Amino acid sequence: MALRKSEPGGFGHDVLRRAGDASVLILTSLAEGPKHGYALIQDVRRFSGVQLGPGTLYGALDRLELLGMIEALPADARRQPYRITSAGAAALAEHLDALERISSVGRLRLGFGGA
Amino acid sequence: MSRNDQGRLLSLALRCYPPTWRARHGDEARELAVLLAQDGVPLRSMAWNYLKGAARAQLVQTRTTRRLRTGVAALVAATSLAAVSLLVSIPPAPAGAADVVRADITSRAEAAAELTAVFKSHHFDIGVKQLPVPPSLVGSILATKTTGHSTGSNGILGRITGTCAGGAGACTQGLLLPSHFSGQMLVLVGRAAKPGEKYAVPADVFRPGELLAGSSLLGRTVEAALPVLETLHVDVLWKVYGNKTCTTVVPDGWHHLTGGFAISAGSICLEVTPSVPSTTGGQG
Repeated sequence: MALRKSEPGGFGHDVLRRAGDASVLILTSLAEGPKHGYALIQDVRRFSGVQLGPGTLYGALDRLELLGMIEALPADARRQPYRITSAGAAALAEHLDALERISSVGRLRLGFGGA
Repeated sequence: MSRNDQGRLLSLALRCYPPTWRARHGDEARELAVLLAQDGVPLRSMAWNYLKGAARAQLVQTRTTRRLRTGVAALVAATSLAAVSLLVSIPPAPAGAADVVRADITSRAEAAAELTAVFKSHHFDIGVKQLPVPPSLVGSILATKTTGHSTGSNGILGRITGTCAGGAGACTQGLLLPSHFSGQMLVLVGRAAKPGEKYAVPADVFRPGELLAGSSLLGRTVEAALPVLETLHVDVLWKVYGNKTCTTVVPDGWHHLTGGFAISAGSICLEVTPSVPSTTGGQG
């Protein structure tokens, strides 16, 4: 059964649970500091090994901006930098906590499952 | 598929996005593709990824249109809420209406004065700075800079989005702030540039409200574009696909126009791609 917001041990207020991996990767990158599209793609590839496609990147940026989790900064030439907002940082922290809980349970069960 | 064909496919993919998306991200998306190509990312895979992104963006628009057309009251109400959330992006836990100060721009020519008046009347420590911008960005909020603490109740609650001057894309035409805002902030607003003055923010020269809007020069050859450009009495610089700077050197006439941006009130930079004319049979 899927965990629901109201259930103990569920996702709580994890609003990123359905936002997609790209959104989480972008917020994680922006948590380090503001970046524009190309810098984001490079950073995400460095820390996660994931090569974000440019179309995927802009789709996720638009969604996150609409959700108020990132905001655009003054453009440098034609490059538009973004930064994480306090709402975005809180959502990312909540999401990482949720992943941590799942990760702990998964590791525990794998350990006891014997492999 | 030759590199030229892949470049054309990439341009085609970008054209599949809605105009509002192109106005906002189009310039950067093209530059990003060039940079990624230099990193070894295949143009074909980027074009495919952009095409998928364009399909999603168009799908979102279609869904919104369908919702608005239904007569079901509940659906209309839901769509209205969705529309409001699209127009005003408010982070979680928004304040009540009575706690929100709305700073709207109703006159593009008086944008800075209007915002300043609202901020002063609420004793907010928010400055307004005007920057020279291309015509389509005049009278819009370009950005906000926090100059002091900005978390929690001292942050912006939302941005009010409207059309840009000339009807292009989406521009920020107002801010929603908490009535007890006590931070420090600077709001950057676009103003009309003086003759020859360099723009603080570039804009796509083909977007509505800009010099080449509706000119149908996009995709045509340099040879075909030159007579039209001569009638505009502006300095035209050129940037060949893959180069980083604009120069006065006019590319060979068979290059195709793929984009361009305004540099100042009297000069533009047009981007071209070297492509073989179809009359020679093309490549590969």
